This record gives sequence, structure tokens and C-alpha cells, in this order.
Amino acid sequence: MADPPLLTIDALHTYFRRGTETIYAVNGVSFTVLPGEAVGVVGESGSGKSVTMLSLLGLVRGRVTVRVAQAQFKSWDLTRLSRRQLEDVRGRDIGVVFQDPMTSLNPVMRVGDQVMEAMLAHQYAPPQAAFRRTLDLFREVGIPDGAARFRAYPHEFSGGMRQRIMLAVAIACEPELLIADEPTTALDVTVQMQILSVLQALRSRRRMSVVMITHDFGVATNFCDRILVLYAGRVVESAAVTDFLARPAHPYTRGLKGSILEIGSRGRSLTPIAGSPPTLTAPPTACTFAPRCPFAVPQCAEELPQLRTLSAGHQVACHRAEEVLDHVG
Amino acid sequence: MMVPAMGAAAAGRAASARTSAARRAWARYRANPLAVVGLVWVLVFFLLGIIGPWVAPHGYAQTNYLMANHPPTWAYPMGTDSLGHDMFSEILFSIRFALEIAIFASLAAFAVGTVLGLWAGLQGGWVDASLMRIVDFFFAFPAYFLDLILVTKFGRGMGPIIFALAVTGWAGYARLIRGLVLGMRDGEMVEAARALGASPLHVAARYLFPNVVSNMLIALAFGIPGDLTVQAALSVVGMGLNPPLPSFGNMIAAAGGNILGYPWLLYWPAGIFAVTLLSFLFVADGLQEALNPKGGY
Repeated sequence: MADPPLLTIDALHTYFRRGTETIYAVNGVSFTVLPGEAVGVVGESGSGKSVTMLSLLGLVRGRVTVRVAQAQFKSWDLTRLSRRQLEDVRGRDIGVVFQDPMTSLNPVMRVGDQVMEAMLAHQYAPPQAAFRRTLDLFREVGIPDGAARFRAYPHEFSGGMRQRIMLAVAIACEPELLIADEPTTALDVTVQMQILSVLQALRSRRRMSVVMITHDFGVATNFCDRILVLYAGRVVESAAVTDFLARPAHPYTRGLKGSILEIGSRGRSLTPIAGSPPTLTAPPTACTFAPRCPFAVPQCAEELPQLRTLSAGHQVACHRAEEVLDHVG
Repeated sequence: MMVPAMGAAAAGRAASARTSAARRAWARYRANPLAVVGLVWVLVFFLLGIIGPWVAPHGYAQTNYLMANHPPTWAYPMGTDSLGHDMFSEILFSIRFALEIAIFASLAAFAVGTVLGLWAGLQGGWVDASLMRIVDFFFAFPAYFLDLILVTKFGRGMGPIIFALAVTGWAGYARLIRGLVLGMRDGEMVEAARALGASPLHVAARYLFPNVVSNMLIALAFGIPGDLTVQAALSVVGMGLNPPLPSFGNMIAAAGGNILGYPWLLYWPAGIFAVTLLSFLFVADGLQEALNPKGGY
């Protein structure tokens, strides 16, 4: 694809101040999202997946510092937008779906109004058109009898149905980018599949880019074109799904793949990654994964590995990526 | 493909869904007999407050010295006081003035408290800290004493009394809504709304306030009888509504010294006032159960 990227993030840093400590949550994350592309952002809890996205949208709260070298979305420099302009971009050009549909809808507002609200607030459509469009959206996300359900309240819906409503809200203004923050985590497995297929259908129908934040490899590899692996607030590997599955080049990625169950893997034992991810109270100066890494050499404890290109579209931040690739195991 | 008939059917179904929520609340309310009795009296009280001035047989300032301190008769169904005022008319006008003061003072306190509390809770930081210190001051300072000072300063008319009650009343509403907002501010609902472009003002008006309005209404239902009481208490020490404007406090205070000779002067206003306060509290209690069945307000 020769198109210019829809979203370009360069060297994003997010620090939280907690008491006298500073927590370095995101430490120089860079990535791009192409038009129509689905990017999966995977990593453990605390790896900075959600904070990365919230930082972009200006939504992190508390005593927080966000620094970024470049944050370009379409023709906008996100760092230069006023609070008001950013509010307008959010929801109109960038849609967001959150993890828990049970708590993210307003319990005292009719669901139809919540979909319409997004369009009216952004002056996307006049009320009559917004109403008709809401019914269309309900049909598209698979809410049967939308005209009747328009005036229902969120508590009258199941979790899966509520997530469909959240999807309808998020795409109401036809955003070019949809950020889905663990959209299926709070749902039953069967419902997860339904939501993913709805999302897939929405995406293929409108060439919308999706950033899917998840810790579920199955979700990420089924849905996405490209996977970013985050560890301790840094991108450790970025690869197309095929490379990610066939040639993981970072020991952490390999570790993650070894620690999940797959159908047909009966007899293979799960190998958990020893230890737990660090909470950084200082900016990283060495590989943050080294203490847990079976491939670690002295260099890893001294030098911070930078993201480097292994092959076209496959980048990794590991001093020993070649050895990891050669290692069969 | 929205066919009109379908729309009508949908509207009908949705309307029934809405009434069912209201109906459930009403069913919970009705299950409390005291609340129902209280509601009946409160409604009668409001009705009297509205029509009282028109049905009162005499004016509130109209005296008849020849009939002073007279027991109830057909012309004066509740008797007369030492100046020959018709007690029945006095009470009807008192209801009107008492309700006007209590309702306007409570609504003003409610409005100010709601806005400031929402702002404090949503904004956090130094806005929250300074507003809540002001609230602490109003909680720490005896409200009745402050009311007395304000009424002394600004006079004993309707306006000054409403102002004084509102000044001492807003802090409770502010603290209540601020606490409720803090519980929701960092929740997913607000995060989702913000993520989809809602401004802080929009979040406050469409998300936070509607979610706490039932708690606030319960507080308001407790606030109105509170203001009725304070207003009467002001009259008892002679700082209430300026005579000849009648008020329950004035009547009760004046009658206290004559209880052996002219007991009806005390029984009627004190009885009606006591029943009214009790009714308001029963209603507030019933609302609490009806609107907030999980408790914790």
C-alpha cells in the first residue's frame, strides 16, 4: 500500500506521577496505521497498551505527562489541537469502543439517543437524518427490531447487545479510525465471535482502520493485519500476522505464544514466562525483558535495544533477534 | 425502511416500558402506608397553599377587636387571636408563605449546590479542594446562627429569609452530588463519553446529573421540611417573617403564653405544622425507598 499512513505516532512517552515516584508507563512507542489496516496491540496488563491509546486521545487523567515527537492523524497534528478541537476529532474521526459494555453506556439514557447523541454533538447529521441513520446502524450491528429498541434503556439488553450498541455509537459518524480497547474481554466466548464478525463486517464495508487493543492472541491474529507487541511501555516487535505467527523474533513474543493453549496442542505443556513485567520508576536504560529472558546475554543488561528492521514489515527490539529466529523450540 | 405503523408500535411499546419503570417505583412507594398518608397530606397542604388566599374568609391583616381571643364559631372556624385575626385565614396564608419560602429556598440551594458540586467533582484538583473547604465551613458554622445574622442584616421579608435559607442550604447538596460524581468520574461511562467527544459540560449535564437526580430529589424532599422548620424557628425568636405576614412560627410563639386561656391558638397551628413536617418526612422516606431501592443516599 502506497497510501500515506492514517495515523503516525513517533516516540510517545507517558509518565504518571504517584506520590514522589514517577511511573514510566509508555517509553517511546512509535507506530503507524495505514488506511484500512487493522493493527493489533498485544501485551500483558500494565504493558501500556491502553495508556498509549488514551494518551493519543488526550484522555489520561491525573498527574500525567505526555510527550510525543509526532502525532499525526490525517492532516492534523494531534499535539497542536486545542482541547475543543480534540473533542471534535474524538468520536467524529476516531471512534472508540471500550472493554465493558455493561458500564460504558449511560444507564439513564435511551440507547437510540446515545447513538444519535454522537451524531448531533458533532453536527454530523440533523436530527431526522440522525434518527434514520441510527436505525440503519442498529440493523448493521445486528440489533433486531431497531425501531422498537430505539427507546429501550441499556439494562434491557444483554452484554453482547450492549457491545453492539457501543459499536453503533462509535461508528455513528463514520470515523476513519476505530480504537477498540479490549472490546471482547468482558464477553462470553460465543458472543466474542459474534462481536468480532460484526466488527469485521463494519470494517470491510467502509475501509476503516482499526486499532485493536487486546491480550487475546486469537482475537488479534484472526482480526488483524499487523501485530504490535508491547512490553513495559515499549514496542518490542511489530510484524504482519503471518510473520508474527511463523517467525516471532522477540523472546517475549515467543514466550507469549508458548504460554497460551491452542487447539490441537494436546500433550504440549504450557510454558509460562517466569516473573512478572516490571513497573518502571525510571526510564529504561537496558532491555526491560532481560531479567525474564532465556536468551539474555550481558549486553542486554547494559544497552537498550532499539526497534530495528529484520525484513520488510517486520521490526523487533532485541539484541539477539537473529539467534531467537534460528532457535527452534 | 422505517414504516410509520412500525414507529407507532415502537413508540407504544417504549412508552409501556417507561411506565413500567415508573410503575415499579410507584409500587415500592405504595407499599409504605405512612408514605402514602404523608403524600396525601402534603398534596392537601400544597393545594391549600395554592388556593388558600382565595378561599380564606378573611384577610391575614384583617382584625376584629370585638371578637379577639374568641373560641371557634361559624364565622371564625378556628377561633381568633388576641388581635381578632381569623385563625383559619391566618393558617391558610401561613401555608402559602411557608411553602413559598421553603420551596424557593430549597430550589435555590439545590441549584447552587448541584452546579458547584458537579463542578468540584468533575474538575477535581484545587477547584474541588477550595469548594469543599467552603462547604466544610458551612457545615461547621451553625446554620441557624448564620440565618439569624443574615436576616438581621437584610430584614425579615420573604426575599431575605429565602436568601438566608439558601445560603445555609446549598452546601449539603454540593457535598452530596460531589461525592456521587467522584464515584462515577473515572468510570467507564464517563471515559467512553469523553472518548466519543463529549465536553465536560456535556458529561455533567447528560451523564452525571441524570444518573444522580433521584438521589438529589430525595435530598430535596428532606430539605423542604428542613427549611420549613428553620423558618418557623426564626419566628419563634422573633426573627421570622415580619408581622402582619402570618407564619406558623409567629402563631405558635404568640400562643405559647396563652395556652391555658386560649388553647386553640396553639393547637391549630402547632398541630397542622407538626403533621405537615411529619408528612414531608414520610414522603421523603418513601421516595428514598421508591427511587433508590438499593439504599445508600
